Amino acid sequence: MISRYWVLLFFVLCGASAGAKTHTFESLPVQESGRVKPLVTVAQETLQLIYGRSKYEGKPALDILTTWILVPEPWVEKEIIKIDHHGLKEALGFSKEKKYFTPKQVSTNQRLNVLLSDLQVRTARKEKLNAYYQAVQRLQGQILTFYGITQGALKVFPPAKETDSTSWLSLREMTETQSEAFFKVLAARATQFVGGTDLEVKQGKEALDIALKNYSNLARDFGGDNYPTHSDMSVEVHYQQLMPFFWTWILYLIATLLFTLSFLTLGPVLAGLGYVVFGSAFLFHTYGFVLRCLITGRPPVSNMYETVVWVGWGVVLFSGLFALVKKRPWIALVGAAVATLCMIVADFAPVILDGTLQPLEPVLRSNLWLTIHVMTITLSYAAFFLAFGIGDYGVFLYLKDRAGNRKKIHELAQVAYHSIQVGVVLLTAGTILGGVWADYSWGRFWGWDPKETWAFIALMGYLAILHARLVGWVKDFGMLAGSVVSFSLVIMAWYGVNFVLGAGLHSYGFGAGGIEYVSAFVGLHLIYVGYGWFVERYNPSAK
Amino acid sequence: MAREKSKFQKWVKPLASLKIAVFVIVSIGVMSAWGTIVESMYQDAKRAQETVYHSWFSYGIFLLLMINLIAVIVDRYPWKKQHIGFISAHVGIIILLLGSLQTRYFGIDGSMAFAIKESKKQITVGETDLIVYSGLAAGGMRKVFEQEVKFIKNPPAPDNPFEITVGGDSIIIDDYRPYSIPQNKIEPSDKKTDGPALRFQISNDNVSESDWLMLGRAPFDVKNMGPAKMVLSKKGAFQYEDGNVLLIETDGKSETMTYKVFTASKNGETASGRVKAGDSIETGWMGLTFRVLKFYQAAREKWVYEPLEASVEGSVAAIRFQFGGSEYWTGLNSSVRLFSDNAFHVFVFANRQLQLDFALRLDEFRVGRYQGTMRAASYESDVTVLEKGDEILKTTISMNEPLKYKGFTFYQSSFQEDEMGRPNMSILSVNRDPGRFWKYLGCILLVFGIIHLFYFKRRRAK
Repeated sequence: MISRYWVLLFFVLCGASAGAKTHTFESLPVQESGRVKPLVTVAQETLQLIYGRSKYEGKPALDILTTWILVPEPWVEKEIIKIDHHGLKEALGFSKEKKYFTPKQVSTNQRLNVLLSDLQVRTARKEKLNAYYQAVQRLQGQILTFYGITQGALKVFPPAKETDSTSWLSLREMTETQSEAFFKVLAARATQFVGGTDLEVKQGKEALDIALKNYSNLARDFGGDNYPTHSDMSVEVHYQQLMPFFWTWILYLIATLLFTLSFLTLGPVLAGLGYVVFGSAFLFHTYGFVLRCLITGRPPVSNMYETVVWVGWGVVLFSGLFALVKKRPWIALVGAAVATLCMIVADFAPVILDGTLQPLEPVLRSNLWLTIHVMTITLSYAAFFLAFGIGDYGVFLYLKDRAGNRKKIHELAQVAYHSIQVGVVLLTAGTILGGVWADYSWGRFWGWDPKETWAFIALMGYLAILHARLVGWVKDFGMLAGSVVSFSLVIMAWYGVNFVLGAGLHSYGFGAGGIEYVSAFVGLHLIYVGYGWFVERYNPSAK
Repeated sequence: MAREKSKFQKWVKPLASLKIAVFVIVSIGVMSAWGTIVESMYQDAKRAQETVYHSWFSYGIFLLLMINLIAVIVDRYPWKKQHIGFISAHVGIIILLLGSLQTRYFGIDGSMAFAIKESKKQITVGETDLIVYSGLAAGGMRKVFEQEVKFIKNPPAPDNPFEITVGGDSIIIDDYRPYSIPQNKIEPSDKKTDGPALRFQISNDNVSESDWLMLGRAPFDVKNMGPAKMVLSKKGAFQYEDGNVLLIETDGKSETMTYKVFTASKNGETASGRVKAGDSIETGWMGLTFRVLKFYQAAREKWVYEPLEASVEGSVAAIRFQFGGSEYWTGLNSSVRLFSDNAFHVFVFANRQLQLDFALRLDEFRVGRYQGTMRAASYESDVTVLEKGDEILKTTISMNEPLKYKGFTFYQSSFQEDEMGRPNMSILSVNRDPGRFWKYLGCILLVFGIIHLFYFKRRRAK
């Protein structure tokens, strides 16, 4: 789906030599979970799944994966399987204090089979899995993946060009010549990262290049166009190595600090610098987003991780626009802070927010509607998230010095109000577009499906504020507090339906985990606003 | 420029209150939230619809909303240019609600499941009916009772039974399980006419399997267990031909049976003796031991509906009823034959079926998979529309590409696979939505209205 032209353009931009057919070690294609991806992606995703991080003892995932295949035995005894769920550790008779266990410990555990067959009964019935069984399922995935890889289940060789098969061949299924060529690559790579004198390293590099060339040619001759070239893989390799969303949150964090400092000292200079960093972070964010579009051939808004990234982007967009129109750097400050939060959550919660690039469920394979409907709704979440941040900040000013900040509080309430207006337009339009999509692909406009219902409930929450404002029930403080409180409904619609309720037709996005953190986040904010309201109501002396 | 409001407007004024509006908006939010919680608890969308979204409370709130909206529009009369956004948004909601009401009462929302090469006219909808057919003296059956029941909302119970009287017999439904797993159980019977049944286990170090052999009215019953056959037979009814066979013969009078082991490689009988429940037989085939776990001289099959807390794949609703002094359970979409002293009835608890005046034939069904996996990427059905046996049109229905015909729309919604993972059934959702036009019109007005409203306000604020 990615046009060759774009790939080539990017390839040139990335400064690599265009048209090269020989793969690098990182770009070797592997078929996994329904698509062909570069080896570096497979390595990072695998280590992330099993070990929960993309490095092991400071060594990159790719090296770790290489040794798993070459010398699996010692790894069976290494503590590399991460188990978080306390109940599961207890059920397996493992110590609760420990986080990591060896593959051997897990696979030889007598109770594992019982757990797995319990799980099977539940999945066969398509029951909604609770956190415990999701942990069992995860462990099953970890064990199967680890032993799969050590036993040569990695599908690295393309199907023959004259066959209709789309299934690639694993190391086990390859002929001796084919697997030998692949193992030569692995061995050359292994000697390289083991290190040695300069000369040895140089020779190692040459050996690796030769081995790669031989293997690539072999695979290409056998598979023809079934075997993607280095350039086909290069965008994804670039994405994996660049880690754009990691750098994005670092930059947003710096921007937040610069804006904060600008209020304390050297105002205009630091604010100007803040805008520069903020702007570059936004460009980087956009670049990462575009890369993901190019890799998947669709706008990346189909799972929790992708929507968090997209909402962060929207928050920055809206806050930037408001800040520029109203010439108030504190709007950009709030935007940068909220975006930092989004991107940190996306980057640090891989177990909950799966950042891997997955193929789409059939019902979502209609790009136009997916794009319009999901993007509009999540963009409204961005506007509400910005209002939430502004509300938070406003309540803080309120508690600090209500009289001295009267003017600023009023301005904040105005921005929150406008932000909510933007959100309401987008959410109404997005919900209706969702209805159009549902009408088109499921045959009914509105079916009280939990995801759509919660988007609707959030809309009701904000409409209640907008109408209450007309009666005079909601003034500056009410607008700020309301922005914070109503955002709980958005969190429910965005996260809660998939992770707490787990019901309905939008089941392609279900997940588990993080409930305690999200509840704490929501709960603390409600307490915070409740305290603000209490001060507002019963402490008039502060006026 | 205050213009005198008319008497009607003064009367309407309290109904146009914004306070009512805020109350209604919050109530709708709370009601909807409750609905999603109900759906999540029971994993059942239909229950949420029947008990929350389509409850009287819900309808009351929407009625209040409607009155509030109409009143507020009347209140603003005479309308001016600045009211365009306001009126458009609020009229949009009124039209949207009316369109939804039309869909609710005149729309059809059903499904159609058919196998490849099958043609079908019926669609199944969500409503559930109780139907009784009675046998006629002259032969044949006649429908004597039919009524829609909403057991999710109003479940029958011993103190709230649902009674049907047909031709002097009464069927009393007095229990309901919304979610249950049907299981076939075999239990001893006291009727002499019921045949014997035997539960066995066959095992060695690597495998262990158990199953039932049941005669009923047949002379013998055979279970094929891979390399060997297990047979329960009336004395002398089964004749050995070939293969590995373990034959158990019963005379129907005593607890003890006789057995014979036939081995293919030895071309005949290799062991024999007597056996009763609890005994084992060494078959001599790959170390397999045959064990008689249970033996009933007279046994009957019974469907048991094991209750569950929430809906799962394969669960059905089940009802219990009393008829002629006996107690029965039956699941949704199955029927029970009932005999009394004076009549014969067929009792049905089922989803309603609607007849279309044309048929659809499934010619072919395809599933596209993601490369190298069993994960479905797309699925599509080739169908032919038939009217009175004539082929009207051929088309392909796929995800997001429905067939529209005579006001009905057929969408690809799902499929079923056989044990080998080959798709064998296509499931279409079938829909007729007469309110569609109004809903779309309402939406357009609503979105236009909101944008105009906010834009206009911002300009005025400046």
